Amino acid sequence: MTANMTRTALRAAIVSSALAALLVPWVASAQGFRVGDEDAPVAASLKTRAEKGAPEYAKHLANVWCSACHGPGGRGGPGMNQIFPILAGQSAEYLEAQLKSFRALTQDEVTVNHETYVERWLINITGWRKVYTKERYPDATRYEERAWDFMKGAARDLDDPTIKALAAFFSGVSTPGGRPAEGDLARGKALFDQGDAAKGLLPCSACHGADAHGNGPIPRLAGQHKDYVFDQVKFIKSGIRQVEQMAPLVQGLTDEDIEAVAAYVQTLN
Amino acid sequence: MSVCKGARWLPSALIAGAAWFGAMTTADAIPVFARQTGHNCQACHISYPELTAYGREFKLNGYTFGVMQPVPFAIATMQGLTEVSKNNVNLPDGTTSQTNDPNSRYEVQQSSIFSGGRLFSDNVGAFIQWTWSGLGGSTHSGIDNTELRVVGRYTPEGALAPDLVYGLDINNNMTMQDVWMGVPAWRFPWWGAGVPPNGRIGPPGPSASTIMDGGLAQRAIGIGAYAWWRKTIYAEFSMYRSGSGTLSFLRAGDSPQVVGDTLSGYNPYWRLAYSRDWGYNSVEVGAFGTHLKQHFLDGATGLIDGPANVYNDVAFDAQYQYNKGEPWVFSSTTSFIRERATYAPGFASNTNDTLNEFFIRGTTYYNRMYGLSIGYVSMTGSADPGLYGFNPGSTVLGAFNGTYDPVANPTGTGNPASNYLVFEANYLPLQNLRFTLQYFLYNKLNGVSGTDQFGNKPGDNNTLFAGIWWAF
Repeated sequence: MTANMTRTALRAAIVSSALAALLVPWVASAQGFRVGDEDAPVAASLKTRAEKGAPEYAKHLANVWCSACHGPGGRGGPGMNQIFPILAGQSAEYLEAQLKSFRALTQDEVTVNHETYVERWLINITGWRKVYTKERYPDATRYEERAWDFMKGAARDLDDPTIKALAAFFSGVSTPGGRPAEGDLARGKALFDQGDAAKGLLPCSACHGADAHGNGPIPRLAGQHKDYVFDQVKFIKSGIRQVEQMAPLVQGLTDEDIEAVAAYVQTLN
Repeated sequence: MSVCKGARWLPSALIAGAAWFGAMTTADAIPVFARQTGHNCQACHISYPELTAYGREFKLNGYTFGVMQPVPFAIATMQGLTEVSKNNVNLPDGTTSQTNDPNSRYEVQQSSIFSGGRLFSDNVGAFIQWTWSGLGGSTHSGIDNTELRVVGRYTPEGALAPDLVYGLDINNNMTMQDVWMGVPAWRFPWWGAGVPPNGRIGPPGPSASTIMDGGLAQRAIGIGAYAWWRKTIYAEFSMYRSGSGTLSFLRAGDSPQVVGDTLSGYNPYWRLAYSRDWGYNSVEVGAFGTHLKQHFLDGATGLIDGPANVYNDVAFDAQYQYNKGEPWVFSSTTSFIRERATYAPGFASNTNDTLNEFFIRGTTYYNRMYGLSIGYVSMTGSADPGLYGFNPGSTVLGAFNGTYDPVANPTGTGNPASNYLVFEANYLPLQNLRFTLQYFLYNKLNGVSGTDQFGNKPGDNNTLFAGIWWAF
């Protein structure tokens, strides 16, 4: 009888502590968290960041989370999957701008666009596919599906110092260098270095640099995945990705041109 | 349940519902993990529940990516119309036995509440599912696939990503902790009409299945450790025990401890897999297995420590995925389970039986919106009339709740051989809403591939299913 009671008490204690372990953090994290408070998710990540400082926290995030797709230090993900760009050695200013653009896909969802419970409820119920437009998210520049699939969420809870630190971190990692690529490399090199006067195309090197290493807000292309560059130029051309300065310059490029340039830049160190 | 009894819960349900909707902070209408990470389903799933390479990372990292949600709940409801080709069987005495069901029926297959995700830190996470099921006209509510993970990472000095992700895992369904789709817990089809007799209407289907294949789901609890090295080698070792005592909360709501449920002590489960990614391709080959001892009621003592069945399962699996996102995605999985069983006296006709389960599946999606899948399952093994439905060469005898008498018909071959195809077409207008059309085509059922002497044939079981799966 006593043994039974002890066992029952023990079980009750274990089960209730398990439940408490599950429930307490939810309740705790909910404290000070108001619906419509756009700082709330950021505040949650700040707790960790404050403990470590932005650079340490960024390094930790890069190690644990970013590396799952972008690879160690952003030097290429599993199998060099070309969906995920190489971040290592990329311009810090460019990376910072991109992360902020991804974050802009989420930051005003609650406070600006969906004031009412009913509206928010409808959006949650329906999943509301592909609602990311310039009208809704004026601060964003990237509306391609993949940005929405992955990076919108990954950037959602980052505060400015963390974004800056992440950009600095990846920028400081050595690049994996150029890799062989299939395609019309001669045509790619010609387009990159000289453009095509007959078609009125400016050389890419005018902005991205003769070595394609980029400069400030202009991204490094050297050693970037061919497919990634190809897709992005297409997105910029069609306006899914908005780059004011570049969009008019790429309108004259055919798919073959874009592929040739993309292949060429992958081979650059 | 009476209306009054239900009404008592209404106010609290409304308040909880309002709190839940109110607390959702992003436009992601999809279950817990999507809200936690801000990702879309496609980041982690080829089509749910099949995991992408990133989805595997997320799971093996203990569901910890992202920010912990204040109200981490999500709901999925699956319902549809099932139509079986024929709902009666011809009996040996010349009569026809009509099942109680019409041969088509609209059912809420199941509704589930999901919870879990990141807890506290980068090191603790959970996947919790509670399911209400209405299959076969009988309602049931209980815990579904559930696991808790505690993970660690080892990053060598100077490295920029973990070389090793390792963890402890507690779960209530053998192989649910796995990240590839060849294991029994995650085999296609992931929903729909299902293989009878799991509550499906119409005549029952294959009598045989391996014990790993759902035989212990929400009954046995596994406690184990795993390691994931350089996104290449996965190794796991777990011990499964009966879900009693302290761990019984992991089988909450499910059938009480019954004869045949009780594993003897701690039973090993192991898993080894090799994975390689190149470009948009991802391939895995692996093996897994278990050695289980299951006790029965001792009539003399009343204790569940009588004679035991011993199961030795060894399996191989392989998976290939091509995942560029859009426009086309391909994936394919195969597995082969070989079970050798030694039975307690009187449990089966033979002392030792062998059962083989082969599975293969191919899936393709266009723009993540239109999908086609084909699956094939084949069972072969030792004939054992005592174990597999006492069928005297018939497709569906033994169907009727034990009314068929094996003693009166001792000619049964008990051949467990069955094979069938599953076709599925999916349309996802929204990422969290799936319309499915599914067809089960039986070529061979319980040893019969043509028409038996009473006029029954495997095709009587062919089943069409049209359903909606909605998660929010």
